[in-house]
Amino acid sequence: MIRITDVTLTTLDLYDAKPELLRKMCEHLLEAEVDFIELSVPVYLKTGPLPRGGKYILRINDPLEAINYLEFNNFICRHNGYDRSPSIINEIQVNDMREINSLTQFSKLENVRLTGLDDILNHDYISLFERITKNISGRIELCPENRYYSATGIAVEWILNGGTDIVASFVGSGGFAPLEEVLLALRICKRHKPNLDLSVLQELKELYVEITGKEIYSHKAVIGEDIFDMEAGIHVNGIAKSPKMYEPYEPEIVGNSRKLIIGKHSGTSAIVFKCRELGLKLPKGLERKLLIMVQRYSIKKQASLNDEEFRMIYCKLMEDV
Amino acid sequence: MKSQKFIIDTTLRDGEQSPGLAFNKEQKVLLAGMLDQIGVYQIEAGIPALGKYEKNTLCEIMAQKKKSLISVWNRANLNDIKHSMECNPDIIHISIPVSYVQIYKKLNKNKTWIFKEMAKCVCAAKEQGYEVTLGFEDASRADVSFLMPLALQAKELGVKRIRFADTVGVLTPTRCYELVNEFVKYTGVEVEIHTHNDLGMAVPNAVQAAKAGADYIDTTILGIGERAGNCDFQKLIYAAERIFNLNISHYTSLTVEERARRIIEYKKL
Repeated sequence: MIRITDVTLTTLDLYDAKPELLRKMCEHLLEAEVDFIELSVPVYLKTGPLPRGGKYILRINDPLEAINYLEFNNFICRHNGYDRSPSIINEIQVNDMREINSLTQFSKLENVRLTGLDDILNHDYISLFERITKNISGRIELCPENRYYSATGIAVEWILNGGTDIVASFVGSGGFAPLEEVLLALRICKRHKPNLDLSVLQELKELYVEITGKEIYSHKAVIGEDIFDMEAGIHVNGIAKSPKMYEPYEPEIVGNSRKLIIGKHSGTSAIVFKCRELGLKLPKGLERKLLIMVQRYSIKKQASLNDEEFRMIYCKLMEDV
Repeated sequence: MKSQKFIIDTTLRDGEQSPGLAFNKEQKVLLAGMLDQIGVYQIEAGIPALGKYEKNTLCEIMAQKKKSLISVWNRANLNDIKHSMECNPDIIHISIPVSYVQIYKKLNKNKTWIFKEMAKCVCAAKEQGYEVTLGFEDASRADVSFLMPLALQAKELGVKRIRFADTVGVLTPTRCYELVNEFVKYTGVEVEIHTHNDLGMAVPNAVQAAKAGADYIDTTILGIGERAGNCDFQKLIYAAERIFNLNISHYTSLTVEERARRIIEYKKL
């Protein structure tokens, strides 16, 4: 069994988000079938009643605060680590791999979240994972931090090596493993929920942008707007024959679509496809000529062409012949 | 003591293939000059078969470079290699599709054809005195029982280094380690790891490959490249400099990234 906890909402403490947007984010996270949604107290107070059907975890500063929130069954708390209440997840920060040896002091806790471990992949991580599970007998959630750009790799390896619980956040908000990457990686490498429609990731992206005002890089793994664009002749040709050739998964799975871009790296087959797409009749033998004109224009522009520019170049060619 | 690893920057080839990007001659020469100056071991500078403009650019890069080796990318055909020779690069890199989906669906050929074409292309470049490296395209999805003999044949032809490409970015760190480790041990050739970031694991995969024996790591500045891009130059250095000697500090890589942003001037970066 794999259980994923999403902590995006906890990381949105500082944003003045409207309650309906926060609720919407909960709903979308549930659609993405995350198992638990974590919220901080300020976000919870702002959000109000949470969407039904979800399992929520409230982040508190002291185990004694739990009594104030009877509507919650699960809490996470960073404290002295000796509260053995099953409803409390004890969060322990691990900054150095040598600290793994001292985890034995928490061996009797029922729920533990290990946060940090950002450079574990630089070490013998498989042995370290084994040592973690040996030192703690309860349920262990791994919450890798992304300081070394390896959090997704750590989360995936934890699962592939027998771990069951991981923590992530959308777009890696707050410096954790990006949820969207973890979901796709587990789908491909572990066949975890292989039929789940993840097009909701696009809606989550829009919400995240609206709440934080941050832009998402257009080539961001899994959710970037342009990740299924294709320009290079070799790729256009390959994808036309079989998308599997140059795509690790179908764009529709994540609510995206392929776009044919025309530019410096296009080949003649891309030119032919584009003409067909725009309803332009290109007489045989002119493909190469049009390609050269397109490439020159693209180099001058230092970018690819939009459809209008392509049409203009096509018309110019047709006037000349 | 940290083991030595070498950065091969492919911003000007695989990076530029990021749809929407199109470098002009000045930009490519400037970027190559900057990478050369900081001591990047090898710069994959472009694809001569793209035409006259690209060839002129590559000749200019060759004329100006001081320390880095300059390589150019080729498909496995003699025509591409002829174009490359006009640029007189330090290294001719030939890409060999090795997964079945690439061989049977893209090329509509078979394994025997791959063996023959590879030998023909390697010999043609070597006869003219060029150092040749090979790129095993889509190696991460290839059948090892085909990959290994192909690598051994390449070694017999005098190829010292093979690029192991995770073309569609589907490897996990452990899988990457295992594949590269087996490849290095079985073939004895030098390995260059080429990772893509489709699942957000380009950096950890490259680090694991280096741990497994790959001495060369492909990167692009700002991680630009097809789809979700390639292994990011700055991020790789930050993640790996604690365990490997890369000859380039993280501070230098940050400076390079900043200067590259100004040179590229691409609004989406």
